[in-house]
Amino acid sequence: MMKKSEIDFSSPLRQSYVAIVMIIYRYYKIIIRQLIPIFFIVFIGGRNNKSTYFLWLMVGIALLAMAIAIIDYFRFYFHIKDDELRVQKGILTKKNLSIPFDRIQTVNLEQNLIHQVFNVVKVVVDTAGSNQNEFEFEALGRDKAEALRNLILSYKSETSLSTTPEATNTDTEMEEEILSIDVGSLIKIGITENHIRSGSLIIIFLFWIQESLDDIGINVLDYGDRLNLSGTLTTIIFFVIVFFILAFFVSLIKTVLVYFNLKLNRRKDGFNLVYGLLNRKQVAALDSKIQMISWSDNLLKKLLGYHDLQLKQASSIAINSKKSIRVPGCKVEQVEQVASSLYNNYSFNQEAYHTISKKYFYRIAIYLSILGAIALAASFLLDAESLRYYPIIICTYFIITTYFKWRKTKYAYNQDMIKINTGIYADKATLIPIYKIQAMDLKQNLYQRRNNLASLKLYTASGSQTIPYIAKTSAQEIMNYFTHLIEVDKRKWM
Amino acid sequence: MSPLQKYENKEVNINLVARYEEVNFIPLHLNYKKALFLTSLVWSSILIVAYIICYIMIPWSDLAVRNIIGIVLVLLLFIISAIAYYGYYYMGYALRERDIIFKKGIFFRKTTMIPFNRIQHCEVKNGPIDRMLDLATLKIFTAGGHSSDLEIPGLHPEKAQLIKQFIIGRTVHDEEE
Repeated sequence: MMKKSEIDFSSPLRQSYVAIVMIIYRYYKIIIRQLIPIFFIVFIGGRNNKSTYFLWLMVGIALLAMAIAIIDYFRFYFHIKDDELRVQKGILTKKNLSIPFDRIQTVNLEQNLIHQVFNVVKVVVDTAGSNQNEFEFEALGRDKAEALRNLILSYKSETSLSTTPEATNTDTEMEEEILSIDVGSLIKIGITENHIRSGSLIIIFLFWIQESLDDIGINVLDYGDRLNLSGTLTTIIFFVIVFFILAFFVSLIKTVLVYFNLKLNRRKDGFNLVYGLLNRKQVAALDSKIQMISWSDNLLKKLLGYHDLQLKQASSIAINSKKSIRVPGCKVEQVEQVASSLYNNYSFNQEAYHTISKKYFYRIAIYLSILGAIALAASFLLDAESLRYYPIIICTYFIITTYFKWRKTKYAYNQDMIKINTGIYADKATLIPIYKIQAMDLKQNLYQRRNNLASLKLYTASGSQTIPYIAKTSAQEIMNYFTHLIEVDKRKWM
Repeated sequence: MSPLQKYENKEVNINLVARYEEVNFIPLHLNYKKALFLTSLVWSSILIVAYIICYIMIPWSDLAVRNIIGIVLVLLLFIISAIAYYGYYYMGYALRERDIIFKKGIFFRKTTMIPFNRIQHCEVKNGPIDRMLDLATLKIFTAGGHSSDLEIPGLHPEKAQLIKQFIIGRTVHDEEE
């Protein structure tokens, strides 16, 4: 075990030779993405002599890219000095990069198929601050990558905890498994995924294809007309069914590929997540970086008792979903295990929950009714009989969902945590430690002022949460209380 | 030991918690009223110039429509400018020992609270209108993303610097403690 960390990082090192392949692969991906429209034109559109010239040109570009990739590889060195990761790279000009360890947020490992074959790892170093938010090693040997990662991560926990280095250096042995998903449960999880979301992905994909074909002069809609697809009800139903089946399989396959053999482990001061089939990823989340956690289900997941758990990490530049670690298919026990290893005082009994004002529902219901009435009136004025029912159906639907949302939105807090529950059909819970709150807004619109209500918005370094429509006095009380708690708390929020 | 276990958790007496509602909000510099007026004037003149261009360039088939649009535009700009102007009376800030509070808004009121120990950095900015009227804007950045960053406009430049120094002093004080 200890041998691993004895790899000498003080003298300049190169990446694994496999990195050449990865760099070439990356270049080719960029080139091909740029050239796809030309590809279509030359090989599908015109069949003349030009295509052979083009072929040679392509071969030329490919060879050039390969040469550049090889130079790129041999010009890349890295080493560690003075608790800094130093990198030297650049094809024409030499660039020196130094990343101090305390600026590094996390170190994540990834393996796609090629990596897996050669037993090498892609190392993504995530830094805070500057616009160069990420730094990547294309391929490092497994030992080297893990040694590097443990070196950086143990440095981090050392400085944040100021304990002896020996105590934190013992790495992987300390891991305790929280969750491990086998293929059977993974398929179940895939079945319960949000298929509407993957459906929208399909639509985007279809639009993308249509646009690329449009670029080269093939008009898909013309073909559609020629096929004489009349908009009868049966064809619409047929397409809807096909679409749903497609969406179902896309999300099922996506889930299985992305989360294959998922393992969530508890480290000494963080979590370790490994998942993926074609592209295997190892993601680390330190406790100090996690700003809030949330878990949600949907109607299907409710039946099987599954939750989607999200560990939301801080990012100082922009709040992007990349920093949020998603663990699908957690049972209640696992959610509780994660929450209890992070927080002391997180569970609330039923009486602790506060509801939000019923005026929240009334206001949106009134607005929707007015909107629906206007649409209905317009349909009468324009004499559009077929459109008459839509506003009624749509408005009723949204009034019902608002009602559900009002019923489900609840919050509870104590001196450590605030928990916010929400959802329409699903149940979503968010847990925020109070000392991780960065700023608070108390907002009132005219309607809220008339009714002595207010909305409270809590900002954290990984996004904000709003408690809508509560009594103004309770909003003020929470704001005062939380401000006090934040100000007396000496813990670092990150 | 994780940092969570080391942290001791004392009971908080809710009656001892400071109440922000009771603080006196300090109004912004009077010149800021002029700044608000000037800002809306600049935007209005841009819109009016756009209208004049349309007035000349477009062959209006219905002159009544053209005139009504003009009148409505001027009225609207007048109302918006008046609202912007009166917004001054609803803005105010308060500095406490450990936090800064800022309120604003006529119709949509918003009170922002930022504890000093969550401030990343702050800066004093003055744009062209600010410089004309001898004003400055204090910008306070937290880690909560762009929407939680606070801007306190309409401060005298010296005062803005003073507040900035005070905040920086307080954050350093916090860290040393």
